Amino acid sequence: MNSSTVLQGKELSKTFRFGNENIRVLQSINLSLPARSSLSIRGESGCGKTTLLNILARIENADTGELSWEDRIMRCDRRASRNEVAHRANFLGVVYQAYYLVPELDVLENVTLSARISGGMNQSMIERAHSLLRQMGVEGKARQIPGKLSGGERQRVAIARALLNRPKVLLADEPTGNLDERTGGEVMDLLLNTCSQEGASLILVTHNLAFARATDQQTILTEGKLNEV
Amino acid sequence: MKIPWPFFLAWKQLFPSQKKVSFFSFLAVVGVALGVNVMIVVVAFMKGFQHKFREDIIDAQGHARAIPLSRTKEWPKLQQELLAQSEVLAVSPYLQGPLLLQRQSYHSVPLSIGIDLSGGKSVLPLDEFLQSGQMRMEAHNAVDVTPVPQIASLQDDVVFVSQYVANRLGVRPGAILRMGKSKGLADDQLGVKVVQLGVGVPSAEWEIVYIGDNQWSIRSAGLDFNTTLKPKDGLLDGGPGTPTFALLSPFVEPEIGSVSIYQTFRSSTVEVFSPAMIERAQADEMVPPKEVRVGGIFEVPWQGFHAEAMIGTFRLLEDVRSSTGLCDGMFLKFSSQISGNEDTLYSFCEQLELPRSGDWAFVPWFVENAWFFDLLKFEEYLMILIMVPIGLVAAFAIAIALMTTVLRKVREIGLLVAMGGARVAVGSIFCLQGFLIGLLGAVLGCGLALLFICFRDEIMSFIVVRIAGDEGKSGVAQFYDFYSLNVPYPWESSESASTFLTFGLFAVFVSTLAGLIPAWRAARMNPADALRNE
Repeated sequence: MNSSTVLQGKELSKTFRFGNENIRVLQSINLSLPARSSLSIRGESGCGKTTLLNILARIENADTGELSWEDRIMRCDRRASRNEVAHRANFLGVVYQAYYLVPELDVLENVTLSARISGGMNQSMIERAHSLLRQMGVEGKARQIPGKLSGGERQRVAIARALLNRPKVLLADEPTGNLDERTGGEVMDLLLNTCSQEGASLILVTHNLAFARATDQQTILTEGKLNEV
Repeated sequence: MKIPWPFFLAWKQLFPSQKKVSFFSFLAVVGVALGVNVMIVVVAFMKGFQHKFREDIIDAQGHARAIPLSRTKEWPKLQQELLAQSEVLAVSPYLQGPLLLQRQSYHSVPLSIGIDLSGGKSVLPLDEFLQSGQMRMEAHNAVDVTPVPQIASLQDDVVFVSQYVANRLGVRPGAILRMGKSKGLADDQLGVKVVQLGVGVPSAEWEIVYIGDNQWSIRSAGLDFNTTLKPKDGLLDGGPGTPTFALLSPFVEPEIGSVSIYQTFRSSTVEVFSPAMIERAQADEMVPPKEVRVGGIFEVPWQGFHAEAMIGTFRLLEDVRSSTGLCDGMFLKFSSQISGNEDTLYSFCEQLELPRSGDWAFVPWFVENAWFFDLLKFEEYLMILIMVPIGLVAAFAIAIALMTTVLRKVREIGLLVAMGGARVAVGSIFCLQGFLIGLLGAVLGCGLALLFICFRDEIMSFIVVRIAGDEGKSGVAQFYDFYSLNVPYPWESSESASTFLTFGLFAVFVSTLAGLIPAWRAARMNPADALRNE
């Protein structure tokens, strides 16, 4: 693996079984993500984009293949070990279409949750959380609960949460899927700019061609194969 | 201090930010608290009743009884031997058996106890029993001022009878009324009060007149009695056959000519027959009954004591039974080092019995009344047996509520794993919620139980008055004597502390257990499937 590559997948395959039918969603996928770069994955609904992201995040097993997070090489056909799970908290950030903010926590607590989970919660993390919320334009909402925020604001908070631990890679699964075009554009600009500022690489799953074009590498997942555009 | 994140999330799910408490948490905590409160209060009251019965039994029969295994006249020697031991505080020999009491055509066959009071301190607090048994008279324009009879007035021709016997025979002790005709002094402060009414005081009207120079005239026209007295130690004692008065305010001189008028009623007499006397009468022998006066009415608080009972002197019983030099047993009272612990008391009784084996048995109070305490224990266990399933039902309710939360938070669970949370840690959030509900419920329940114990009289009065009304209150209180119950706080008694601790820990344990199933379900959830969940 190239020293500047932060994430690499080799020969990743995944088959789902529905009754007697086997559906092969990923076929020997090879993927390489250099540091401080961005990669987009497009594809039809149900083609396996989210599954690929889950495998890259080690929250789902592949049938075969190997995954590297910087120097850590992992077999993808077995469940993530405790060390891998602990490493994930600092190595990866995740942003989902549905935000998944914890409704009982206020905005600041939601953002700092990733630091709590990784065991790195301290005063400087709180300051960083404020700084990220400022960058996202929602600092004034720090003490509000997610239920009182708009969709765009919620996604900004989710991005701030994903970036708090200074992850090397940010996985974003259709982060603008629930937003209108204008708000989606704003959120995407923020996502790309902040990743660039923070030095995080980005893997973006999107249906939006314009957003995909804004990334360094553009790929399409078709019939289980990842093709570069 | 860093709070572990599962604990932080568990707390926040129960008490969310910007909201004081979630509805589920409120209901769950209050439910557990009420359960804990009820369990503690019921057991504390049961223990209070046990404690009260224990005290009542000890009052009624001492810490132990020495019972002769065969008829013996050696008991005075044993009495002396026992009194020589520092652990033995008092020894009261007694005779007991049935006697026939008769007044006109009314009969009663009470258990009659003859007590030897010559040995000094009595084991039984008879004065307390008499106090509760005083019977008041009601009269127009007069107030019953009869002093409470004292055990000191127990003589060979005087007996105390239980309320039941008094009602059956229609007898009463002597009484004295202050008549409304008193002049010169306010009704409620007549200058003198009756402190003693001997059984020999006849029925008559008495005038107490202040004649000046610290002198009082006591006279009764009907009895042709007239005497002038100066108070001695604050008392006006006209001698046998007259009531004894005490000055209420020795330093305030009443107006000369101030008069207090009293009416006395002589105590009833009853005739006493013993089985031996009846046998002799059946053999056509002339056996005159023994005539005694009723010196007072007593009530023993211990319900196990005979309702139909009479207390007289040892000599009276000897006399009517024609058995001299025998005794049926001795009531014993020990020092607190011995009596404070049942095991110590038992060993001490064994120690006393060993050298006298075959002649005397020493029976501690709790052995003699074991049946009663077994019954109370059984009742207590039955209560717990009923309440524990109630606690478990509450636990099921918590488990179901937490399970619903798990199902509601499936995607959140997936996210926490995706963010680097270990599955066990994610699962423990729900287990900790159960633990917190149990802990808060236990603390609140203990607090409620403390409040209930503190204000038990007010609460019980409130409930009883609403159920039975003001009239029924005294009846209920007589049956369930809540008001004199000694229900100790946890800092006052280790037994009470252990009750609080046991039920508090039980609540925490059961609630945590209730959180285990949802926790297990959350922990084994596939995060990818959880995130896909709709």
